[in-house]
Amino acid sequence: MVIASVFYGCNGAFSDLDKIGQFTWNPSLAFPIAKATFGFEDFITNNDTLVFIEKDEEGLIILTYENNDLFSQNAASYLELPDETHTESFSFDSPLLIQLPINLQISKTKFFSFMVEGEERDEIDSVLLKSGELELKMLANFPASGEVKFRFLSLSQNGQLVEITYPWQYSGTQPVLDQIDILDLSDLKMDLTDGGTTVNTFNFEVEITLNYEGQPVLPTNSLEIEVKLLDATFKAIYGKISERTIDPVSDTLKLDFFENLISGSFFLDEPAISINIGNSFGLPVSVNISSFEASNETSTLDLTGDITQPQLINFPTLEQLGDTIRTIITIDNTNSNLPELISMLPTQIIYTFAGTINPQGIADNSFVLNESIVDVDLKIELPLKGRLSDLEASTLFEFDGGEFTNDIDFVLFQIYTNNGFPLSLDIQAVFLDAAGTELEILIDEDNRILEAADVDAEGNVTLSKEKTIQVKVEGDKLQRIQNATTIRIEAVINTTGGGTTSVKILDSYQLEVKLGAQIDFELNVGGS
Amino acid sequence: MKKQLLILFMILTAITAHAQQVTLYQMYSSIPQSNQVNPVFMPKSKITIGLPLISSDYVSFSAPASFDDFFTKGADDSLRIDEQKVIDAFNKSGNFDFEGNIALLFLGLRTKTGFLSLSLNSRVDAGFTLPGSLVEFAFRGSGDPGAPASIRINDINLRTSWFNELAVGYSRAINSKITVGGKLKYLQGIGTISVEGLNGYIESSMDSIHISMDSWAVHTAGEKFLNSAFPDDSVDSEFNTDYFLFKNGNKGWGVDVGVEYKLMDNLLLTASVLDVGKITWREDTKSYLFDEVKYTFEGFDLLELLEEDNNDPNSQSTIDDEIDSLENLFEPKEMEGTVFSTPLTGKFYAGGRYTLLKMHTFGVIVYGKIFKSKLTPSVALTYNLELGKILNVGVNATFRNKTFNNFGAGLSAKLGPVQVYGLVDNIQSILFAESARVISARVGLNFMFGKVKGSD
Repeated sequence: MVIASVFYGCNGAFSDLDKIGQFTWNPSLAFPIAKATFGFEDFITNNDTLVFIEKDEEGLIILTYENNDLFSQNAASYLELPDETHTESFSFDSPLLIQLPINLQISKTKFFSFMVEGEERDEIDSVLLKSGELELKMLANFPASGEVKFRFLSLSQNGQLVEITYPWQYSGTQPVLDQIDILDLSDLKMDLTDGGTTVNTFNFEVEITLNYEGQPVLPTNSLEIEVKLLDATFKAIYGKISERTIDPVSDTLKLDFFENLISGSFFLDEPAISINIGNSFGLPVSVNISSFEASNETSTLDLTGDITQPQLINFPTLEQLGDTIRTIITIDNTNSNLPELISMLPTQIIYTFAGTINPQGIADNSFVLNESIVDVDLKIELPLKGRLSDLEASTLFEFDGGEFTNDIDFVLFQIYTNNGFPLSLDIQAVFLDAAGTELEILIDEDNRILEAADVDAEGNVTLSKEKTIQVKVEGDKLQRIQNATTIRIEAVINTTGGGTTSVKILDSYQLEVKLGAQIDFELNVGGS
Repeated sequence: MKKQLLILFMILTAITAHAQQVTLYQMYSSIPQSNQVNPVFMPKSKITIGLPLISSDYVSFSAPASFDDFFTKGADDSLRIDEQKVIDAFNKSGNFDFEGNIALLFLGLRTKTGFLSLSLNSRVDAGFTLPGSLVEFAFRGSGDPGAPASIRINDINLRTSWFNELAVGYSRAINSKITVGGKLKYLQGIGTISVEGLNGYIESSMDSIHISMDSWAVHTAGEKFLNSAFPDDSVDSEFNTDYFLFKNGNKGWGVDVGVEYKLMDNLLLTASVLDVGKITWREDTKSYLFDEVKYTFEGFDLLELLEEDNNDPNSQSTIDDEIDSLENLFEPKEMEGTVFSTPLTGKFYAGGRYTLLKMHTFGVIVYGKIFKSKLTPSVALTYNLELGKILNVGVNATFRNKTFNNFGAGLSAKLGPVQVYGLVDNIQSILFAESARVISARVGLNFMFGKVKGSD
């Protein structure tokens, strides 16, 4: 060409240059595009942080969906100490009053008691108070000086009974004592057993001493007392707590596992739901699944079986005071229809949990701390051992067909797979226009890109399978694809044997994929 | 920009060619410059003077394919590029050659038995080989089932040198049958691009791309000089005369030897070996050193592609990473002041001639060149007609690939002391330029005085 150019300019040769026509250049470029070796975890797009992948000792993959603190309720929701008001009148009888001018001083002690009872029939032995008030209201009209001493037999602090004394001085006016005092009950212990003989009984003594002031004291003179137990809260209550109902809690679990699945048979051999219940009440609690309904777009199915009966959960003993004792209730194929429920590919589960504290009052010596709690965690465990048959999935992607150039004669994709999973995969790409009309499909014939690996009787893979397929896009198909705005990927999954054999998915399984392409261009160069 | 111009200049010279000077060889009896192809050749004049620029200007090009090789005529008389013809042409030989020689001075002194010559020439000698597999890849790509499995990089040869040559030659008859001659050349390099150690291959398929290359180097010299010789308009610079005229450190030596044997009165055998030598480049040199490359690409990591955050402007994409790493593999280490050598392109001629009636000379010449240790011989049949003392006409035909496909012609005329001559080694390149793969021409003017007795 160099020579030609030189001579064309020199001697007028190459007179045919103007006859040079259009040249169709058809280079064919072959190149690898991408490759990857997938383990199972690589398939999980973990957008939902509640989804985890676990494995057992054998390496069997277990998909888990955890929802901790599904609900929790503490003792304050169920137990309250009632406010109590008790009034008494304290006076001296005549024989004792006669001695006053003689001895110049007389004293008298009286014992009082009142009941501390709530709406429930709790039989309380003692209470370690967290807070509260004891209000004392006193009104005395004795024409003498003196004092009044309260000794609360049911209240102690560090082993010492609580005593309070109020003196007064007679100056010729009445009343000699008109006082309201408030006693802080924080950290006091309240013993309601009357020396171990009964329950719910608050005892106290009042001692009055009078000093003679030259005025006669009559039997009608008195000290009026009002005792109020107000706003008492507890750190711990000991006794026999009566049965209470835990308010039902409902919630909905969205399951992403099956979001894009359309139809097909999906059966896991051993799905399980673990309900992990923590209890720090010092008494029995029963929990029951009052409703557990799985649903997808077309149907619903309720959980049935023994598991729906109330389940009694463990509780701490006095020696375990402060501990939370956990009980795991497992819903599986031995006590429920869970496998069938999972097989319907639910997209959500709506459940209601209810419970009873100390059902039927079966526990006598129990305790409740103010921090006692019943909490429930839920964990769905899907061990990937089972079978799939024609499980269809579909998803849409935006697509810009205009990216294809008219200079392309055809595009040939080559997909090589070496599949260590006991799953086959058929894939089709459907190109749609803006109205959703199907324009073209990508693969005309064999669209099985993954052959399922062979398995033994236990469902373990014994031989991976290689496959290479080529997909050619050319001519009119390429033109139609250019008008597409959306691409729908359709996938059909089967386990080995077409879903007739139960297989396992182990974490050691791998899928090797290599994607290459050949593009044949048709470039018209020069000419008119 | 100057750097690019330098490279462009070198590449342009490299993609042209090296042709042989058969016509000059056969015009030994009339043109003193035939001494360049066999130092044993002696002119008939006692004194020969060649003035600068006019005494001998020679240029030759050759390429693997002609215009016709690129095109085929369709039914509608239009021309269409015929990729198969081009590929076939390059598969036979992908050599591009260029040779240029401008005489700056020629002095010759003939005695009855010997010839002493002094010449100063400025020469460009270049060779470039484009492998057929690369041409086929350009046309067909890597996906065509008929495309070569791999592109052999080591078939790509590139060497181009511009140098001045100061030669002193002497030839002498040893006895009545044997004449020997030799020429010692002092060489001074001006500029060069030379590729050293380029060995490897590229393979591409849907499965993988493999690139394997040994460590290699591109050596250059004369960049500063060429920048001064061909300056940009915006830069003031002066031609570095000292550098050009034997005052630089790029020196070398070369040797030509020749012999003539008189088998009988009218039958002589001749042979020569030319341009045995090398230039060692020391001044204004720069080398680009490339490390060994062992690169395999089996596709981008699909997992990394899927995890890419396309919304993060600061994140480097997997594709960019791969491209960067590939570019880094071919990032040369640039070194100035390196020392390297480039050999001359050796040539050889051998032949015999038979003279009839003192005016007809028939000959056969075997000739060739040695480039990158490859020998490419050809055979030419020659005929000369000497018409008195004035005209000498020569024609020749070269036999290659089982056909006579190359025709040369030459003419010299001596008008008093002035001799003019013109030679074309490939006359069909003028008559049928479309099919020419080679063109070689020489023109010149000598002043020749006196005549040695018995030189006829």
